[in-house]
Amino acid sequence: MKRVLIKAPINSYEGAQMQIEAGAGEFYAGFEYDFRMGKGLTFSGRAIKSCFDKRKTVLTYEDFKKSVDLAHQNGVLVELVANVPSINDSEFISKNSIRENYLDYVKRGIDAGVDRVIVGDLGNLLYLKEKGIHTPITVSTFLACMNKASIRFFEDLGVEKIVLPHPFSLAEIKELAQNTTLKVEIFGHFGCSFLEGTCGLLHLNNEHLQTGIPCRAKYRVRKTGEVINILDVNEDCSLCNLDKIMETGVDSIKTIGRDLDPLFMASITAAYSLAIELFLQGKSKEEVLGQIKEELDFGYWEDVFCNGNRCKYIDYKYNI
Amino acid sequence: MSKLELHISDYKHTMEYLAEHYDVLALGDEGCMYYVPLGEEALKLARKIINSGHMFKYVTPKVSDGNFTRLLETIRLFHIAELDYTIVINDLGILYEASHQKILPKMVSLGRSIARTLQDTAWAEEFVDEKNGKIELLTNTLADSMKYKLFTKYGVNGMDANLFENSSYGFQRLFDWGWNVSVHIRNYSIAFARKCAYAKYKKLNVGDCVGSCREGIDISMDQICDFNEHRPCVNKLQADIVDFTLIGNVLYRKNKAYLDLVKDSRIIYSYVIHDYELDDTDIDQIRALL
Repeated sequence: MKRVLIKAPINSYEGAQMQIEAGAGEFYAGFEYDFRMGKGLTFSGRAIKSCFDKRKTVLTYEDFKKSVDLAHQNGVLVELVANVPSINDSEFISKNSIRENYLDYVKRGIDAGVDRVIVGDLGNLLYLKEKGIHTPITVSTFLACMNKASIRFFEDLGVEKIVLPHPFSLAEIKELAQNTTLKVEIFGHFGCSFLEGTCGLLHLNNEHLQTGIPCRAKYRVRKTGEVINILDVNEDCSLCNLDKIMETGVDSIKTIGRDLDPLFMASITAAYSLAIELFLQGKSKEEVLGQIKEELDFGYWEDVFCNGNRCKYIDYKYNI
Repeated sequence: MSKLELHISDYKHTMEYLAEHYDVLALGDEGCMYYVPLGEEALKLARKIINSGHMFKYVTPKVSDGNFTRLLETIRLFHIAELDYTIVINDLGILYEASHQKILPKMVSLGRSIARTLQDTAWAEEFVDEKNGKIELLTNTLADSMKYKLFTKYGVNGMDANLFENSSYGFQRLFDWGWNVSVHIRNYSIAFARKCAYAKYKKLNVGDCVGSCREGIDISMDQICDFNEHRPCVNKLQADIVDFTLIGNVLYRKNKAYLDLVKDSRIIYSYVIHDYELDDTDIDQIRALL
């Protein structure tokens, strides 16, 4: 069984402090940058503010630098989110081209001391390499690696780490993780129903429309009138499977929520962190869950994830 | 002149279309392996299509390792048989391995799950504007010199894409690079999944729903939900922009503007229509425009 790191999102310096205390081993974060695409899409793959709460998804550059320093003082790695997907280098907008600004954004992140850069567009990855960026690159789940050969595709491009899409069985994850030289990350908590990078149900991109998380929405089936979350794969939590995940060989698990309350996100990290320690001590799943319930406020968790049957990496029967 | 292409979704019905007047007949699927003919059966069908005077296109989805070898071996079989065809690839691993093994055909297109734009969403206009690079943002992601250089090394020279009002700039660029651009003129793809929402909704085993899932399930967003389960889902989204059709593991929307775009375009290699879209489409009108 291998210790896995928890990669947690931060959207403030206070969030960084909370995540360190909660046991995060890695952060991922972006910072405010003047260049906007469209009405507010940023290089971090999100708008600056959440549509729902108007909570910032990125830090100020000063707080970002402080957070990187704080992380490093505590042995925590930091990845810069530069994973905006589906970008091209169209040439007809003469001033301030997207790619030049993208490079500047990444360089500022590197200047702040980040340990890796998360990239979600193949052209951006190639561009950074061409421009001599030597900071290790993490391939975002936006690039949808589905098999060993697709991982080799990115190995050849000189990346360091790959984030797998959600819908794999634990056996498949083990097969992928144990047959590559790259670091492998999977989603630990929350996630998408569709393959990111192939999904146009975009949200948190400063759209003025409140779309929520569209794959979780309730849809009316035209033919029957039934209202149902038909696109929702019902997968959020991998706490009960964490011992098995730690046997697959993956290096880290990612939790998502750059737009969520830092306290809430830190509480998720705390639960996973405690579970990792207890599994490493050889505790059973029942003992681990029992201790988490004793030590942490688990009511919400139990209500939503356990009673809602929102477990990850269990149900493969609808996987193609 | 652009070609008209019929994508036969269920390859078991291939024979029914051999006498039809399409330039290209396509088999396979961009989302689901269960629709992809494999091995000797695929080779036999491909030969029938070619012998009936059509060009043959083989469409392949993203695949996990469980299906990888069967698909790769079919591509090898086509190679050994010296089949003249176009392959549509949606999986970078298949592209990587088939290219390294030198078994790809001369015509290699990237499919709609790779040839994306930010317009492949129901509400693209919500986050782009005229001032800040509207067309630049909405141009296909493959209209990119960095990707062009890499994919050319892998033998790629075409793409299958959705057709939008702002598509022509990117298409022109790819055309100038010598790529063949095929566009889908009816449903445009919104999102691809591995876990099949259709099979889950119908409580069917994946594979058992082949055929029936092509009827599609028309859905419209009724209540907004998010990660915060304590916050109730709310009713406040305009229904007119969130109508989708779920076909198997892929979510689509109907494209309403294709006829005008067909008239304007001179850079399109082929226009693609799926057999299950024929009832909604005036093919004679499209032929007249071509």
